[in-house]
Amino acid sequence: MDEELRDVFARHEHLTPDAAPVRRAIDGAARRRRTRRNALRSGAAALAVAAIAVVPAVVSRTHTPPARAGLLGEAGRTGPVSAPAATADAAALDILVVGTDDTPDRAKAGDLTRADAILVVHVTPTRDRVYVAPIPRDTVVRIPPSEGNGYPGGEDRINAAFAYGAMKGGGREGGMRLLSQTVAELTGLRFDGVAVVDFAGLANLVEGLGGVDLCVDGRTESVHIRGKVYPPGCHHFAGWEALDFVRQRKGLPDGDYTRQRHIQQLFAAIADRIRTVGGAKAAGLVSSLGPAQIVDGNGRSVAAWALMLRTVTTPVLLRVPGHPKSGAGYQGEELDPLADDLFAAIRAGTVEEFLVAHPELRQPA
Amino acid sequence: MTFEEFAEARLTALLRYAVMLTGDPHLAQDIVQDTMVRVQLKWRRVVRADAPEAYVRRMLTRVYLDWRRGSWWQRVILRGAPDDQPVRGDHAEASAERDAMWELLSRLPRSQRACLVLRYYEGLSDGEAAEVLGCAATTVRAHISRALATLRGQLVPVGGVR
Repeated sequence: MDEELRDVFARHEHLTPDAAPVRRAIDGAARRRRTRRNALRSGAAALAVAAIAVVPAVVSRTHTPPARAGLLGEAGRTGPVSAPAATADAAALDILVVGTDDTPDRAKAGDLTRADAILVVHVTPTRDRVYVAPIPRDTVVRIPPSEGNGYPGGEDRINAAFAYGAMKGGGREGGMRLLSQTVAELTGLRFDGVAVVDFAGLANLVEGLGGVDLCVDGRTESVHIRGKVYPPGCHHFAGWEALDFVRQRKGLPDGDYTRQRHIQQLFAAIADRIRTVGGAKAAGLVSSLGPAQIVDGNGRSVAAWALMLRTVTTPVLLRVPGHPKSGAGYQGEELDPLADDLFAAIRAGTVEEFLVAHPELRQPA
Repeated sequence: MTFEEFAEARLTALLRYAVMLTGDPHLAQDIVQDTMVRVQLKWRRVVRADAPEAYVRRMLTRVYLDWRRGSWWQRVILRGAPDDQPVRGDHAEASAERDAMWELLSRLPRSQRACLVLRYYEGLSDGEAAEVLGCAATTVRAHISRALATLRGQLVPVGGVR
């Protein structure tokens, strides 16, 4: 009987269908499913802001972008912050950079704002190295209570922190304060500065810089602009194209992780472009962004920031490893234990050593 | 390993396994497609598993066993009876008995058939089969002995009494 069973199975191997059409069907179905899932996972995605690229450009004293205090709340680094710029302290700097999809009009209308691009930027004490670590927007975290508007705190995806802080009159400042505190709790970091830019601000910044050069690894199709496709290879991007490109997640091989990489690439490209066009032009641009950009220097003036960061070179892009939470359906991301080790290395100022041990966390530029 | 590399290397083997489970090329295609779409969407988790292929085989087996809940079963109902794929002529006569066996296999409960496929086609030990099915090795042995008893009782020998 054993032999007969082996035989009967082997004899029917010829029923096996050809793999190629199955392969095409799988790809098509996965694309459709992913589109649906992304539609559920909060519609319009994010964009990045390049505060670290913007700030060093602001060397002109006549152009001062709106600087507001109080965005950091308890997430701000305490200690002497009034040191003159020229004697900038030799400690590392940590900056929180956030991209939102709101516009001044939407904010006035009271629409909920999503903060989908969340970048932790770490500058070494020698001010020559910058590391950029994106927090996955779907990371499920504990969100602390928001004093301003009575939000009691709870567990949710990190991009909801901004909305919880902003609702009931909290505004962008309230949103940013709660998001800063949430990221501070997640990473154990205290921030020296925070910057926020919205859609229009980012597109205008890139446009004003004369566009940026970006290298596309995989064919990316726009779900927001019909028929717009970004083919693989290095291309020049206009402002609206750069914004559209970093908003795409649909069909990307690693979903939001690939999008985070695109955001980091844009960040680096903006920094590069600012160095090319020079500080004076960039400074004019930043001031023209107006309310599209808000900054809290935690007590330092923009000029002080500019002096501190003038020696910074091309950013090193990091990957914060995570995985989908287990359970039925998609319930957001959970960071890997390695992510905590990465945050610890940032706190300890040993990122370079950490990357030697974990080269997989370094993103290709 | 990327999903593309995995699909390139393992898709045919998975389809063969699915044919053995379902006995039908169309059903095999359906459950493999269903499984692989899920695999692609959670590829990062799959690739972190010790053995991605075993992980995918477990998923595929689960889709097959979740007969009523799975969407592929509804497609079967809509399509009607599975196509009657004629067996190729050259072996047909000599294999009449084994074709009867193939027919009998399709009447076994799915978990019993899965055990037979894992032991006699995939060549797994009872322990390995148990892991694929998410049950105990003793359960696998019980399924197999029950399946063999059914087959022995129903198989009408073509060439006289055995």
